[in-house]
Amino acid sequence: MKKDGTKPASPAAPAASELSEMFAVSDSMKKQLLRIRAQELAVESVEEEHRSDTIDVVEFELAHERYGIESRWVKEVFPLRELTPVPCTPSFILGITSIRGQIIPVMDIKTFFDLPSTSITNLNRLMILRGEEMHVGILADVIESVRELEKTDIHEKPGGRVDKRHDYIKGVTKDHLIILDAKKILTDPDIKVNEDV
Amino acid sequence: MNQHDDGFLEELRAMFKIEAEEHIKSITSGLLQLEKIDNAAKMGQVFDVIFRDAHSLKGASRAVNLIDVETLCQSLESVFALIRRRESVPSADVFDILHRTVDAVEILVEGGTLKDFDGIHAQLQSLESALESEKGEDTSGKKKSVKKEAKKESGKPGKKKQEKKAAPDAGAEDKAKKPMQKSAYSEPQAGPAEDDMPADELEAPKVEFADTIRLPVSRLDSILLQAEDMLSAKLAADQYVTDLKNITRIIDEWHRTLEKGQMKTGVRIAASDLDEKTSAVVQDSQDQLKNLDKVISDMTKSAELNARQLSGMVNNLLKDMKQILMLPFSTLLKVMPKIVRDLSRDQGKEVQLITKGSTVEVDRRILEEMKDPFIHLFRNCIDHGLEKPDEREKLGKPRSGTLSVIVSQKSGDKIHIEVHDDGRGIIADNIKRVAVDRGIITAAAADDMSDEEAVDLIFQSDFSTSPIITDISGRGIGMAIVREKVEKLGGSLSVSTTPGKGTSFNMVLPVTVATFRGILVKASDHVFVIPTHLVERTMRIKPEEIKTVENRTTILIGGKPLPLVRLSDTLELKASEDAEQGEFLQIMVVNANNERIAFLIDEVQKEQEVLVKGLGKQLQRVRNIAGATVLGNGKVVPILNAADLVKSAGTITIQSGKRIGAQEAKVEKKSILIAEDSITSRTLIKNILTSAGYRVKATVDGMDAYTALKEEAFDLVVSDVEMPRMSGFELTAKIRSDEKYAELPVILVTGLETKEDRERGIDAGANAYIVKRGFDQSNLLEVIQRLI
Repeated sequence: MKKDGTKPASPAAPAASELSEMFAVSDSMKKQLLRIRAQELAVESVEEEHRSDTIDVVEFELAHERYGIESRWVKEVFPLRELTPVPCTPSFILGITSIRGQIIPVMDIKTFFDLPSTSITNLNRLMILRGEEMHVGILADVIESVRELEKTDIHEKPGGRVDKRHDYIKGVTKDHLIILDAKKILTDPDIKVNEDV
Repeated sequence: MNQHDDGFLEELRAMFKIEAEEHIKSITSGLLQLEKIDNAAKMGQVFDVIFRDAHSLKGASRAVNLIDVETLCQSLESVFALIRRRESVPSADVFDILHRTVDAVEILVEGGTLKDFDGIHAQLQSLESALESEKGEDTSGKKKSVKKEAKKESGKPGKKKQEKKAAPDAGAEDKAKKPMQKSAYSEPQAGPAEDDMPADELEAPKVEFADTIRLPVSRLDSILLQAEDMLSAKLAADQYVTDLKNITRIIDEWHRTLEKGQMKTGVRIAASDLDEKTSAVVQDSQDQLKNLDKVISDMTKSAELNARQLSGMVNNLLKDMKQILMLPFSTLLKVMPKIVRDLSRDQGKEVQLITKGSTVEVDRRILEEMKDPFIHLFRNCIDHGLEKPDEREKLGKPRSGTLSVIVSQKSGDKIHIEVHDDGRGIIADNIKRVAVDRGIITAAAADDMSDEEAVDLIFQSDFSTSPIITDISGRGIGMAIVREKVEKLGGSLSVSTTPGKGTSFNMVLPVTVATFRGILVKASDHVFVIPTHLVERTMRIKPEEIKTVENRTTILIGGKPLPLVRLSDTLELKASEDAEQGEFLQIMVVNANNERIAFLIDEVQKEQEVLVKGLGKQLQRVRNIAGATVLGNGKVVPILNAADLVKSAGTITIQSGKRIGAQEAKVEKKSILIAEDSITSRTLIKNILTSAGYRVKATVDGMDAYTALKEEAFDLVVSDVEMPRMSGFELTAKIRSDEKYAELPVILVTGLETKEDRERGIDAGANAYIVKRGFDQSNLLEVIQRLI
């Protein structure tokens, strides 16, 4: 059942020489390959996605835990350069930043999940999630890579609600990657701020 | 290949949607027009238009495979043709069916699912057959030919229509000619045409120049966003000039040092102290420095030139870009006739909507922002302003009320909009009574108030809502939102009313989302921008000038005492350590909604041009913050909401935060008095409040609490209801009966959760009522924060 779930991680295994051989393709060929791949990716419809057995997730680290978010929700990733705190906002809103002239709120999902901040983290990567009606920036300590996961490798989250985060988890892989439910986070009214004096 | 087809179909559908929306809008406004026309002859013209729309929509929907839309449009088309031939005014029921069908088509076009397609279709079909059979009686019953003829007619509606018109109604002909004459002799879009309301409504000229292109709005928006971003480049260029000038100053100073041997530290070195080699080094440095000076001064000049050019270019680009995004006001008003119709039918009222000046052009973003406020305003006029037909008749008014919207250009960058209803008006005394009942103002204040001031109270956010904050109820809505929106856009909203005659809302709006002048201020190491026009003055004061009056710090400005609060306290920021140490304190006087408050700040940095940006959908509304802007150096800075600040400042007393002026670092906490007889509840509440940073005194019942209240001042009372000796209701009533405590917020936390109990709480004058079942500490804290 669980066949080679860590496949994408394994390319690191081949010897360096082998790798360089693998990449010893002429530039034009590379370009052509990339073009073909791009075309293939471009035509892939939503339905296609439903049919496939794998999902792409962006893997990131936050407070020494590894999380994954389905890549189709991730619009962009930036190093966080500027952060302006905004007074009178809930603690999970760390501030705002400007991306190409657009103001993006930056949130700390750890605080949003009411997880105790037991360790010092550097939180310097900004991941912009794209929802239907809004963009939300969440912070990560390290953003690892995009990896392909077999759907069968994502197990249901353990039963029993331990904390608020539990409600926003889609599943967990056998190597303890916590897959977050981006849609639930993006559509959650609790992440919105709408307060009067 | 297949995917290619799919993509094509998708594109086609997107195009179809745009086209369909236009047809739907046209049919809706046509129907609304028809409802007002009582002259069958005039109807033909309108029917021709909407018949064509239905016909085109039918064809278009067939092309994209939307069979349901096609079916409905087919029926609509036939019905329109049949009514057109009948030449009599259809009943309101017929219009209802037609409107419902159009609504259904709209839902289908938007990609929604229709619950009752069959029902709507059946209704339309029975209308169709009824009309058809009627027709059959009139003529010799050639159904097929009737249909065909109708279609044929639609092909060349222009000619036929005019031939028909001329005969039955000479007056109609006159009217039809008038606009033509106008366009022949006067400037296009000349004013007079607007005086005639139907003309304005009928107008909507479909300008179809060959050199117009259709672009998705999103693409334009992104270009605008980038153009606006150029503003930071412009500001940055200015910044470079300043920086370069600073460098020149430093070099000058250095130059002097080398020349005179006078160092910054005060040490003086005479030329004779130097040996030959050192002198040579000094000489060489001086020469180098001269070169450097020359290079930098050249650079400064070109930087200045560059900054000037960039500024001109960016300003022009922005101006043109804004021009592109301008739309006539009618874009906003187009949806209104339908809304007014639906609202008035729901209320059993008759309303005639008149619009004037809808060709005035305004920034699309402003129109978008104003849509909801306008609906709000209209709803308000129909709900509260206009009377029911019978009542109007008794008052000697025409049965149907008139709601008018008059848009006019006030100046190059401002428009004026008047929304007027000829209803019952607003009675100042009623407003006063409600305001006093709800604790918004005191009875004494109400007596002092002029009628205008009283009417203005409808814009208070607490006015339209329930007076009590329960754990479920929402917050202030209504007219407050409208005013806030208008002010956020840089406009203003006022109301004037004549009891019995009607009410006018007068709105001034900027034509574009403008940049404004803003002052950069610093508080607790954070930089904020506040719009210059809301800052009356900035000044430095001596700590001795601060006086404490009735538990609040004040300062005399222009002979009048003004409340003085820290900006950092108002924004719930930690006060910075080293501020307020010097001989002088920096303050700014903010004036919003005619209320003036002096804020203590760390420093005033500078004044500059500022472009407001929204905080994004996630931060829909943040207390005290109106938006953000990007400075020349790329830093994002929050823009303060002056109206909020003034309101928030009103809740800060001397107890909160450290005493201003008295340079002791003692932090005074807000104090809360608890009245609760159960020891577990008492301890629980006390712990929650203490750990939230409040100073807490717990008492065992109402009597005990009241005694404590006499002895020391509290900011808020949290009380149980059922207690021995004096209940929570009695305690609240007693507090409210004493004028000294009129403003003291009272929260009732109770096991009693019936509606009657709640109402008793309201009657006694409690500010909030929290039910113990499902008690949640964050809820309590939130309510407390809202109150103090």
